[in-house]
Amino acid sequence: MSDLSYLETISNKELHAKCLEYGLPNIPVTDTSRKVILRRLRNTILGTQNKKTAATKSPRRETVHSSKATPTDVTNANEPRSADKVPRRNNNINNTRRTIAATPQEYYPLESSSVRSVQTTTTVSDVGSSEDDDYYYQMNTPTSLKSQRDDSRQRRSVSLSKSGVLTTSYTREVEKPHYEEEPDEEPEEPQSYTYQRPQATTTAPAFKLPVYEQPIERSYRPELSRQNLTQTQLNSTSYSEAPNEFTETRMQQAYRNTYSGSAAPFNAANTTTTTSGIRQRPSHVETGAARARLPTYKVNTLYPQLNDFYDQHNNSIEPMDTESDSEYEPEIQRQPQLQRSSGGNVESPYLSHFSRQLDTRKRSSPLARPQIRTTVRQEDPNATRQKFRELMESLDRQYNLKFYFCLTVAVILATLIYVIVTPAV
Amino acid sequence: MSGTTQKYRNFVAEPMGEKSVTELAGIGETLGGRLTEAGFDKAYTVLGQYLVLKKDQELFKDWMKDVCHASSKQASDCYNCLNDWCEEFM
Repeated sequence: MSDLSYLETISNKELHAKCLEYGLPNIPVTDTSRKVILRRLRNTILGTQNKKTAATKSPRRETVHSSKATPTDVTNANEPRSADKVPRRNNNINNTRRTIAATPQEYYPLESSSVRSVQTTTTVSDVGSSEDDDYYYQMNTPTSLKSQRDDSRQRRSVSLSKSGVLTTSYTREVEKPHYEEEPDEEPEEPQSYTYQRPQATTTAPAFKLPVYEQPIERSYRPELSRQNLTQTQLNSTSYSEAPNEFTETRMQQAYRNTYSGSAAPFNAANTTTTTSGIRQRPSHVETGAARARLPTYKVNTLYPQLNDFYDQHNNSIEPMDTESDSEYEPEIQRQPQLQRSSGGNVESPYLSHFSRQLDTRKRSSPLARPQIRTTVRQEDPNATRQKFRELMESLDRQYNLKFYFCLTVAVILATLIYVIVTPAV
Repeated sequence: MSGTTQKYRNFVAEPMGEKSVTELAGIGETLGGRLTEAGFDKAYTVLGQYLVLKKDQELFKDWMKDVCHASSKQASDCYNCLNDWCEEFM
């Protein structure tokens, strides 16, 4: 402070020299520019001191940010995101991918400390450079600042652009992480998911190699049971209900049936091949999360009834060509189902509705497919005739084609007879 | 950023000559009165201060805020106006 009083008393030349000492630009000091230059010189002198103090204060701010960040995030995220978070966890681990992408906050406790500390450091650096503006903002337009701050809190993009402001740094730093973390966390998310995925992935590849029915089914159950136990209580309702309704063997079959049921009606796929193919699909096409999604079909407890019928057919070995055909089509249908299932699993009440849709679709699909193939392969020669007959009959009904046809034939015959009978002139 | 105002375009379109301070963008009657009281009655006086501060934006804005209690937007408008005028005619 003694420096400040000293600077006010010195002359313009001395002040100019002082400015040069502190590395300020060589600007002539006049009566009109004296105040401004004095202010900058003060800021530079205090800035050096502040930088020294800022190094000590920065960790305090970091801790404050981290502490404040959690409640603000929770409050902000509770309304829009919490609804998504909880049911997604509840529904399945399968959907954890999307849940995490949309809600990285769930895993803050694991990663938040590092991310937030980084953010706070960046803001602290900005603070030193933009102190001057803050003073003026506070001096001149405090109200406008408040409004801007409120806007910046609501609008995260604004906070990113105005990171230089001191006062807003607290809230903005909290908000920045969302944007910065989201892209960063996408690669990091799998780490947190690895807890869940490895269960599906480790089991699935192990199943692929043997690729036989019973081990696969058994493996799925323990996974599901684990998932239920570990993740959410609500999951236990969806998953646990199924085992209660059916015996373990039936449930295992039912799980298969849900997967193989669509392929089964073609009588083309063995249970082993179908299950392996189906479970391999998500592995090839999608990541482990897709596998986790597969259990969502488990909800279709109604399937065993229909699928038992198909399982009998599955026991009989059948040609590979039909398998390839059966695999392609179920993929097409299941991919939208997977997407819809993930979207529908957002809330638990949707599960029942979605499961109904799945049931109806799967029911329709196996029933419709055999019809198509029977018509295509077996009825190909007869189908055209029948269709032609039907078409002719329908036209006859509508337009009385037979009548007109007979009439025209009669006329033609009459003319022929007339021509023949009448002597040529 | 935001679109230029007609006042800005009029000032940058021609040499300032003996234009009043109020001809500068961002400076109205109130700020013009304060600047006039401080001795900056003409636009070229403000330009002189702008040049004395070596076209430093921060310093010029601080000066504007100090002399006539201009807001940051007003100061930035005036600075942009003078800066563009200098690019055009200097």
